[in-house]
Amino acid sequence: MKRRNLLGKKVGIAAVIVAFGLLPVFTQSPYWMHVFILMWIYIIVTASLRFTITMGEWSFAHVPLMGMGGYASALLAMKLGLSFWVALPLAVLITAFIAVFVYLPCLPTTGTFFFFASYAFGEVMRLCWVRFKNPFGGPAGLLFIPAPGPIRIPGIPAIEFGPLSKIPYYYTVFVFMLLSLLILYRLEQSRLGRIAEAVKESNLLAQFVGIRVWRYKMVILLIGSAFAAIGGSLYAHYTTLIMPVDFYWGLGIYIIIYTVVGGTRHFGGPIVGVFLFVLLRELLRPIVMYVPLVYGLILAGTLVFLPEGLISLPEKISAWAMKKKIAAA
Amino acid sequence: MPESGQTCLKLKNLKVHYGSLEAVHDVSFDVPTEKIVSLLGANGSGKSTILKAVSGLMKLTRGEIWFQESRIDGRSPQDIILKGIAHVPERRALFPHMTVSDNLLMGAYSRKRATKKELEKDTEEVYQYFPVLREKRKSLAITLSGGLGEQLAIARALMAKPKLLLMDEPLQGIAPSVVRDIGKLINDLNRRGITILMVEHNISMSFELSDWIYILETGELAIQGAPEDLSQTEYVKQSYLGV
Repeated sequence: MKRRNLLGKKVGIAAVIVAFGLLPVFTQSPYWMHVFILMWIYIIVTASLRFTITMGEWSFAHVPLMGMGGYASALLAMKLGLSFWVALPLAVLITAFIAVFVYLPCLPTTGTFFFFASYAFGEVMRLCWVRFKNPFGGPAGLLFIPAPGPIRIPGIPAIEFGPLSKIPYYYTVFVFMLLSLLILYRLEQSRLGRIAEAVKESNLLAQFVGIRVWRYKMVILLIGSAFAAIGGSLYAHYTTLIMPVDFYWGLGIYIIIYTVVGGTRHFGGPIVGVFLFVLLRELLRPIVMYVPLVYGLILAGTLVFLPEGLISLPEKISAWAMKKKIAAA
Repeated sequence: MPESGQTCLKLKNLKVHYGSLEAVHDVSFDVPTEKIVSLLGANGSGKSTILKAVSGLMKLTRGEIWFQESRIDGRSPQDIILKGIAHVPERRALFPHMTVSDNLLMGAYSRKRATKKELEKDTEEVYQYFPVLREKRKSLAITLSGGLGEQLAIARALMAKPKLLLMDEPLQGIAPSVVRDIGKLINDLNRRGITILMVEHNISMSFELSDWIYILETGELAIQGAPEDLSQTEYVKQSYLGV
């Protein structure tokens, strides 16, 4: 029975991947392509935030670190003329390096203190982009960030990235998202994932069994930052313009809401959260001023009625149905 | 000082502070190999602090700690576990949302070179000691009763393959019917060659189990001796046995 459930789950996931892989065959509307490209980027950022949460601390520097990835990648492409394909991995390394200095002063703290300390250091980073016109462009940010170079596969015409079609972007970001999710999932199932869980359960007890808590927290935060940087780099080269305001604290709050409403205990939680909120935002465009209110209501409702997030809804429904069946019998 | 055999653990002039408060003042004692030694004393007398200092979780202000032939004070808790000292913290500290088997695997965390097969074999060995844990291996630790929780805490420490087991109040808050079982288990472990340094409030069980007892008072060593000798002293009769 369990094996059948697992197989069903795998088939379901494969079907969803194929369905979204084929989406551009059915619609090439630039509007919907844009919505889904941003959705894939947010999924990378949200899933990586959740990965850092597995060790028990909530970072508010995650979105500024996403921005760092975007700025680093854009500057490498604009100032050094590097291709996106080279700039992205370099930006990831640069962001992870900077994340060491962002998180070093935060790590002696835990809980609320860690959250606010990470906010402060993330904000320092963002204010640097505002303050220093050279090289960050100041409040106006960076314009004319080069699009990724063409992908050349022998036997088929080169895949060009440009303003005319969003499809190459769609597939590029989609593949990056799938790879990011696969790596994050494997990491969570690995020894590192178990250590993260132990640290989350009890910092002190983790030390009793010999875990170097401080070191592992840093490793997990750096991995999370690296994936946030991938999201930032994809965002920068897709939109071709980034500003400090793109990575302000409000986006950090939204990313946290996506994660909490989706469910933090399950790997798929943030994916569900991003889907719901991004699609909801599009549907609510005619009443855009009420969007924060609706988000707030959904967040409050989830915290009260589904504290494990929307991902736990099917489980709750089947438990409820089972209870009813037993009562009827 | 206990007479027989080699010394497993040696504490020399130990001084430990919590901020400006001196919790342990100039304490020296030995723990002989393959014996059960108890540290007794009122709350706040520094017993648990000494255990934490031995396992590297508290920094010494002064003094030395020797385990077998090597000095271990100033070493990290990770190095100390690798040397062969495992600590069973008080209140049956478990990873509550992990299963019993995952809790056991976390106990073997420090043995990075152990293969999967070795870990499976060791887990099986531990289950032979604690058959109920095998039945509950897929249950979350949070669902275990007090006695089973204590068994799991001890079992987890055993996964580190310790030579010296530090046990902080292993009998605290356990049903009287289970206290005997845990006591028997401590004796069994000792018979298997594990030296035990135990902090306990259950005086009668400590006297029954231990080969040697140290009694602390406000961070200082007040009196020591074999249980049968100590129980005859006025100090113990008045302070602990209520005679």
